[in-house]
Amino acid sequence: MSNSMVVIDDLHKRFGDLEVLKGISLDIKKGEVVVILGPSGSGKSTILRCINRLEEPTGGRIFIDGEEITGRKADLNKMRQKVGMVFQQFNLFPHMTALGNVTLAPMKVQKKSKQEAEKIGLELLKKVGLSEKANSYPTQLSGGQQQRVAIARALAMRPDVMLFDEVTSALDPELVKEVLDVMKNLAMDGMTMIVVTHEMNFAKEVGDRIILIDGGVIVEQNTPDQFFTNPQHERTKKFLNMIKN
Amino acid sequence: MVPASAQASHSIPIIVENDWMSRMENSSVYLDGAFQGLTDNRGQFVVPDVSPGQHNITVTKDGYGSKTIDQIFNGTESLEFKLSAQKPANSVTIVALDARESRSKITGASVYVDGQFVGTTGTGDGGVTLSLSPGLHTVKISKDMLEDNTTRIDVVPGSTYVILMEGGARRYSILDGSLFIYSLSKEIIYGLVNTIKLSIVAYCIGICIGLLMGIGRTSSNRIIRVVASVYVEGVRGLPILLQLLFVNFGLPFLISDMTGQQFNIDAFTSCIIALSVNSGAYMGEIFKAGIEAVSKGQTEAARSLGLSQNQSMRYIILPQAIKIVLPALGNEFIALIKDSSIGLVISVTEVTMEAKLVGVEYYNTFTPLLAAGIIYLCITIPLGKAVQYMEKKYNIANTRTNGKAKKQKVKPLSEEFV
Repeated sequence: MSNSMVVIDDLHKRFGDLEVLKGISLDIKKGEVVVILGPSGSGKSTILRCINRLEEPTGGRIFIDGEEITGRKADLNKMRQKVGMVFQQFNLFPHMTALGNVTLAPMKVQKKSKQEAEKIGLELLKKVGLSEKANSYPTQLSGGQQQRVAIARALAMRPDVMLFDEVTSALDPELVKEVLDVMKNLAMDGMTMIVVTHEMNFAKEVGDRIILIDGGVIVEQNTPDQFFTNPQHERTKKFLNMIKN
Repeated sequence: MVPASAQASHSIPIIVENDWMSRMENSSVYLDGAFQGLTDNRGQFVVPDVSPGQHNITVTKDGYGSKTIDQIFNGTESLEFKLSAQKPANSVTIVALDARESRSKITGASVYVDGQFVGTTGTGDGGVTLSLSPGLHTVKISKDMLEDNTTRIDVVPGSTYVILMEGGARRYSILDGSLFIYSLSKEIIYGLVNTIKLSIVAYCIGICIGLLMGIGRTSSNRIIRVVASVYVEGVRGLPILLQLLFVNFGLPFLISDMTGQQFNIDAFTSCIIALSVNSGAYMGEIFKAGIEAVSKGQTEAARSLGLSQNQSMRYIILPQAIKIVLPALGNEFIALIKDSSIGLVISVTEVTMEAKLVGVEYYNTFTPLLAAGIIYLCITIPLGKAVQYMEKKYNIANTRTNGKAKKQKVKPLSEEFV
């Protein structure tokens, strides 16, 4: 357990009559890249949103770095600093520059000085290849650039885990690669990542473990090799066939 | 020693009044020429130790002359003295009155006697008091915008003469230029200042109320949401005139009744309160719409970075919401300027009230109102244009721009189809 970064224990989530998650249990090691696949509506995104409590789980417990984040006692704002999240729709703050987006949370939440925050911010923007766009506003950036700023923004809080929620789905095809490259570099640097995506090549190449979710339960989890070449479950085979066609 | 057989001396209460039955205080009282004392603030004094028999009692006061009563006193008397004010010799008062039924006093009219300026009406009792020898005199009275009146008066000293003044109806046609200019100047000098004061103060308070209500209406706390909703829905559902009357008359009455102490709010303050409360409700809806127009993803992104709910509202949601609602807030200010004319019903001197006053004063209810209309339009139309410009500007800023596109003028769609 000592090197577990995220532990999910029998997670349930219900929206009214609809039970989206029917008992998900996962143990994600430090530095591991877990890719979650599944048809739309299967509850993939909901798992991510429960991990940083954007959705309130109906049942089950979640631990991050050994600390329980579910339950009333959890300090949400503190907990969320440990978990970075990148969204499908970027959600950059349009009234702030790229650098402003990246430095806001370090300054307001971690109370860092402006200089200190900007130093970190510029370094991160450099890492995602956008040094020269530091003073551009989101509307002046392409989708791929916006998403890379969003990744830098999440990283600025020095999170232990990064959650990626279909981050390339809203991008033009030619812009997908630049975002995936950033994520690949991040994975190689040892970041613990949970990635919900439809990019099978990325899953194969970067993922340490692939998980297929359907109907609110984990259907199959395996190494990429095994998952793609030797699926164990009928449902997995069907899913892979659907993607191929 | 008083002989035992003699009747005991007694005291005599006296009251001193003037011609108008007002009690006169500090009048000196003398008994047989010896000073006894002064009357109190109710004009009363009691002369002590008056032995039975004949005595004279004299009362005097500066400016009122004296009065003496000489009679036999035997113990049961009380006395009343009437003192008359002493007017200067040959004093005459000239008063100017409106020739119409109201017969209201006209102040500020110049009075000339035999071609010589002697004063302006309006001081003291509303007229001019001066010294005039008995006999025939020519009295001329004149006031800007009113017809001069010249009369010959056979002066009897001590009299008051009333001179009626005709208004401008006969002289000022419906579109008289000088009356128009006069109306404009009066409405701007006396009215516009208050109109602007009312609008700006009420606007600032309204924005604060509106911001609180807007945040309250979108709060996750149910109680706050209900309170804000009741305020907004309640105020928006009532006529603003009723709200004004409630603040100016209803509220003071209620508070006086509850506390048992006289409580008053002056008309100007009432007007500001009513306008602020009213526009606060409308601005609450504007801010609510603005906050809701900022996408939910913005809050989620902010919260996922560890910002608290308050921080998210302050740094992320409000800056975007305010930018969205800026044109609507501008329109609200224009509405407020127009709404401030309700001050008329509680006699706050703003532009509309002043227009009404000028109209009544000069028998012409068209020209002053026309002038007032033009004053309002001179403010509201340019402000409206500014709001339109703002709308356009922020529309551009919201679409994708780089330096070049920003400078381009964007034609409104309608122009392309002309």
